[in-house]
Amino acid sequence: MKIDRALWKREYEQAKWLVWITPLAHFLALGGNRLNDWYLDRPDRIQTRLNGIHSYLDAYEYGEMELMARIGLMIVLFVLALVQIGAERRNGGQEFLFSLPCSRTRIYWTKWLFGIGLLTGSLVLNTALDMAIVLGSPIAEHFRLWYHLDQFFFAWLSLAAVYSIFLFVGTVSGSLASQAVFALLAPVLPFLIALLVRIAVTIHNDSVFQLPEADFVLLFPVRYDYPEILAAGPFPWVFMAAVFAMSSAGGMIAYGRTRAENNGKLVVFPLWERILQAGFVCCSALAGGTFTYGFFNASSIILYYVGLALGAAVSAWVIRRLLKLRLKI
Amino acid sequence: MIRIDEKSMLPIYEQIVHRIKELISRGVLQPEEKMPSVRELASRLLVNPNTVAKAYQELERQGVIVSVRGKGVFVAKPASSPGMLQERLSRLRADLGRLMVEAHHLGVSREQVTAWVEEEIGRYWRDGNAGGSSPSQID
Amino acid sequence: MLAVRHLHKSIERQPVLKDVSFELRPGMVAGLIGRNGAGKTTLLKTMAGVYDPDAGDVLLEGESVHRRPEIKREIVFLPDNPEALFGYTPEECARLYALVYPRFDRAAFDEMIRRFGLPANRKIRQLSRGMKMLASISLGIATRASYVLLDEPTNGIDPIAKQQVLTLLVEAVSEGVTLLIASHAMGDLERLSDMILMIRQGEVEIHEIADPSRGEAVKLQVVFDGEAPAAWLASPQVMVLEHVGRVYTLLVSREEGDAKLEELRRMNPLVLEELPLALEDLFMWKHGGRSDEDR
Repeated sequence: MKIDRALWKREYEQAKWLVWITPLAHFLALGGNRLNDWYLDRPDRIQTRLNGIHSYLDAYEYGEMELMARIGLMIVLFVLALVQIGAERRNGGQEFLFSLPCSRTRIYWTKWLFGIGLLTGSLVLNTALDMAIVLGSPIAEHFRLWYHLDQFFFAWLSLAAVYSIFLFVGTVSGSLASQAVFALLAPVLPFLIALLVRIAVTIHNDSVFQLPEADFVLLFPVRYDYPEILAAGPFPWVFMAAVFAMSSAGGMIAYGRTRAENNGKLVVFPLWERILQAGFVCCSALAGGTFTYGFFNASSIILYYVGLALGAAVSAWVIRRLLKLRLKI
Repeated sequence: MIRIDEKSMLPIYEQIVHRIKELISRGVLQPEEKMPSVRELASRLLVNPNTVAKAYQELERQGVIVSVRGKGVFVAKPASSPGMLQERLSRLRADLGRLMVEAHHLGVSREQVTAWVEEEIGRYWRDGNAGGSSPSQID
Repeated sequence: MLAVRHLHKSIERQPVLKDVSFELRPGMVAGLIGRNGAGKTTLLKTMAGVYDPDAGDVLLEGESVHRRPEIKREIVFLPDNPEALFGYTPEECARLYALVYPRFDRAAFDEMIRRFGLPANRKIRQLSRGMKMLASISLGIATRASYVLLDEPTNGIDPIAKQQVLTLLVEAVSEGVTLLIASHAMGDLERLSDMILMIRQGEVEIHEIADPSRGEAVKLQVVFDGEAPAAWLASPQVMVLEHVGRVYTLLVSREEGDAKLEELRRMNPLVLEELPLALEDLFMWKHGGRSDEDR
């Protein structure tokens, strides 16, 4: 349909520079790095490195380059989501798009597809390049096709999931600034909450808790301890796929129902204002309690509750003021 | 050529009708001359085209202008002005009477009124009789 | 026909539009007037689908604009500041619009650009305000949409550009396009509109241009014989629009009959003349006007 072409054109023109930077930066982190290590470096250093290789894992440096690439891509996708949703709220782009004769969900899926497409394209291109580089390098004998594929699929699924989270956060946030803040927080939040809760429980029970799978949940495109992760079974994959599906669907619903008149506020939906309020107050309360408990040497549980109350009160006041704000950015 | 007076009590379309008739009377618009289309006039005056259309309809009804299919709108030939004439002439005569009453009531002298009438005659009737309809049809 | 039926919209829990209903027929020009912040932009944006109504419908030939956005091919919204187009040149805009609106008339657009001397290859952001509006309106009209919603099209632009904008709009109306124009330029609206929508405290009143006050009020120029009657002037049915020397320009309400007018006549003023009631006068009257020393 012609209008799809128009939507794609717009997405591309908005993010043109990102489209070109992404594969380039990806290359630098992955293929370029590999090139550096095995082609371009001084021959004696290359030889030293070769001598240190005892298994394919050493040759592939335990997936460190892939990790760098994933971090880079995560940053790119973070910025892309900001450009696609947050920026549009303030530069008249969203208003323009919403006045067009097409549904909002169509607009959303175009954006989603654009991001996923960029991700896929860069991954395919750079994985292929990397494979070629490895095959032509001194470590060619350690080449393992399934290693590259494994890394490829992990990167794809984890980053797709993260991107859909970023998009979803964007559909709920009211301004560029709040989207940026919430998107940065989103990956860390489960970890933080788990930590605070654990501390609270420990203080009351004096028992020690294991840090649960929350460890993996934190910034999952980053944590990929090769090859231990292979032993983790299907859980990480299922988890990421679930996050991917739910965030994508959630984003579609939120975007379709977005309240454009609330652009500039922290959060666009009254329901989410409540959620934000409750969450912020709870977390601040827990944090406050933790702080007072830990600050004073007398480890009295009363101090904990004092901190809890103070944290709750101050944060409640703060969040009320913040929610009333309407930012121009 | 035509300017709308915003301070006037008359609605815009009436002002247009009046002004066009005035222009025709003065000879600025000649018989059988092509008039601007509704669209052109509306654009020039920056007035709703429906208003201009209404004015043109009224002018056509009064026989002042004629629209020719596919060709446009033209000033009517003087001889082809139809039956509206009688009614308009009676109205004109009555208006003249009313003006005289007012002038008299305001204490305008006979000489002054005559001078005024002479002035208007001089402006619109050139060469004695270039008015159009013959005086015998009145009243 | 574009029909707005019982539209309700609240922003931040404040009702901005309350049970708004009206109809726009083809080839009609409707002016939308109201104080700043009264809800003109909100109404236009809700009609364009940028906002969702809390209740009520916007129906184009019977179909809801919000439930079937595809029908918005016939509706174009031109905001008072066309930010979304800033990063494009007129040429690029035309190409984009041609993909979005199936009836987009490229030739007509190029003609308009040429006529107004707009540079086809300079970013719209770099044009003067008047030229920005001309570009935006040209694009809007070239879509050949039947309904064009304009938010303050002549606001803050120089007189020449304003003439050009109005000419463009009049020509579009001649082609049968319906315009809904939100504006403060009452003089222009008076000449252009068939119908006036006045929005006040969330409600929309419909006024026909032929008799804006609907016979509810009359505008008079009065010079009193002797001392001006302060008590009469201060009565709630009388509004002093202007007072220069001994000449008063008044609005007298006729909602409760002609009693007030009778009182005035019995005072035998030196001058008592009826003046045409302009849109601006109607606006002042409905909003209580400015506070006047004579009240």
